[in-house]
Amino acid sequence: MTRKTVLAVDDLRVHFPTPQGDVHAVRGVSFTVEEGRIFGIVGESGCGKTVTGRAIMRLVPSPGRIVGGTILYHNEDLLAKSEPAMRRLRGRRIAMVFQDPSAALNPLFTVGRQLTGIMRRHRIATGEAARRRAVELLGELGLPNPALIFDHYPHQLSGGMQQRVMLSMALAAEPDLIIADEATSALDVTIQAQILELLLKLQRERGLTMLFITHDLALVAETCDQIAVLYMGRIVEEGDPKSIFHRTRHPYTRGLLAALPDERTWRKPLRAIPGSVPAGTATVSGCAFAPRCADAMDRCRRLDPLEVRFSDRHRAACHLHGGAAALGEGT
Amino acid sequence: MGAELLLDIRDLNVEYASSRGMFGRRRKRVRVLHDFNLQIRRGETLGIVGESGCGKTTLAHSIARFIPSLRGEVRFEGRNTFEFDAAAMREYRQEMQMVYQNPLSSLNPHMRVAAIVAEPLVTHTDLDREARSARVEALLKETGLQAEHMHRHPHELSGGQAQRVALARALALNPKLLLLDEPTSALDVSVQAQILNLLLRLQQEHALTYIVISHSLAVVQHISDRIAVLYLGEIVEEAPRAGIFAAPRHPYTQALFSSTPVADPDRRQQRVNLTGSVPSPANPPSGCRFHTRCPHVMEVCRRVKPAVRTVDDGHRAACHLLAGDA
Repeated sequence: MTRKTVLAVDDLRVHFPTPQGDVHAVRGVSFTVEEGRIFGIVGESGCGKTVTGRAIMRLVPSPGRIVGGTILYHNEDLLAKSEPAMRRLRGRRIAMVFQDPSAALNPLFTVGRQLTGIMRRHRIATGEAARRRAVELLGELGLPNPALIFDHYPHQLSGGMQQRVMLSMALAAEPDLIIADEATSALDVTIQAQILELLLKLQRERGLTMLFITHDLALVAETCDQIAVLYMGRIVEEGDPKSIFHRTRHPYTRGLLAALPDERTWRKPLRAIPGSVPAGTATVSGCAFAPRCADAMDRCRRLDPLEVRFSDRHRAACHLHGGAAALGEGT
Repeated sequence: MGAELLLDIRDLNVEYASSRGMFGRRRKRVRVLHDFNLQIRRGETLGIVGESGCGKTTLAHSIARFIPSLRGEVRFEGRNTFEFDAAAMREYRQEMQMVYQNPLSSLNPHMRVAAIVAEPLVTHTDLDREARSARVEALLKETGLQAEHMHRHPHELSGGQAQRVALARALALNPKLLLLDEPTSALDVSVQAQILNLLLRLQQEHALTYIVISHSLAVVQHISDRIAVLYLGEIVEEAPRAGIFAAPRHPYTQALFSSTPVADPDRRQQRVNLTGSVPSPANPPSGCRFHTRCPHVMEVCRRVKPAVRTVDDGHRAACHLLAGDA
């Protein structure tokens, strides 16, 4: 079954100028998200996952700039759009949910006013119809007493309730793509489970497409249909959950999984990845992971690894799998 | 493990004053810990899990004696810390050390690493400058830092390095007990593994007793000998690590464990879904405090507070389901 492609990102590059030189936050990221799928982007801090999400919204924080690549949303090039056209898209067709709901909600307005404001702005509904729809939406998101919460200010709600309100705002204009950046990371696990259940229900019932950005490997294992692992601004491995977790091909992915504590590791030394992610402005030659990789070979330090496909849904960029041969390595 | 008790918490009650109403005219007391009992043996690692508002940080601050108690005792090596005079308190402050979640906010940003680690030595010992710097160097080496780090400020360190500095400082006075409050929560997975390895090594080398507070079940499961699960200021279940993970008996523990994602797509969890959120400690539910969210709630749960029952060797839980007195 082939599904429609909602989002196709190709060779995305984002730079942040600093006095010490440009930081290459995203260094050629490519992936496609199919309709009705949850696509996970996972990686450690500084890997470029948040910047990638923001680049799709064309909201890269200043002074960052998108310096290359294309972002196709339903085959429309987002990078070619005017700012007003982009503004009509944001919130309406593509919505974003952040980690910190208190920063995304306006403390001066009631939940209802913010929700109906979105509906009015995007011409979904006005007046009494908007109010009805808003209360309905809050109820669908499992908020108790939605009519009461409609008149509450954000500070009167708990973190889990605020997160639901933010989700309801993201859903208010009936977008078909939601970018969730660490959307459940600040929540307690029992509340996180409730929100995840809700997202999966929305995916099933509305065919919602989602880009799910997180640092939490366990979370992507449980929720995503397809997972991309980012390291230093590049996708090192992408695959369906079974491929990523059981047929792991990239040493970085393998390192991350081996470093996770669980019931089998009790009080045994974990296999930590040696070293840490180098600071941003260093130029990368060859594979960015080579300095920390136990399997690094000479060519890893010199040549960019090519992408190797293991199945139509599983790929990795690593010299161990022979990608360099295609580059005609003969030196 | 028949080791002697190091810390014995008996019927501890801790309250905060919260001002309610305009201008704080109506003072309301919030009971954060409620008839709290917990024993920690020398050399063991006790993991404490629970969600926000369960009182885990208040518990740590009570043990550290940062806050007064309303009632109850925290006994350290048999002596009630609430009766300590200044000299005894000074000694206790050396034997018990705290390590926080975010080293960048717990380390003084104006001081260099060497001075941060030397500070407790200046305050509590009469080592001369030379002996101090030798000790600092040894501590940094032990925690996996190099001499080059000595002259850096905290902001010049990575999160993992800063947490190593916090550990070096905590070890400076040869403590017996370390209170670790979310010690790896601010760190990336690969760095978290390094710090967990370091914690286990230090514990062995120094015969340390650990209390590890964490919201991460994976971390607690990895490091603890025994685990206590907190809900709204009370222990709902307490057991040896293997027992509680194999067969959690309290519905809250079951929900907590099943809500925690597992990094294995073949084991997508059958979740026990709770409804609603944790009630405010200012207005805790009657009877069993968990009854407002419990999937197995019975009539008795709303009225009667469940007694703590021993269900297995060292495995205790407070739930009416375990009694048949429903």
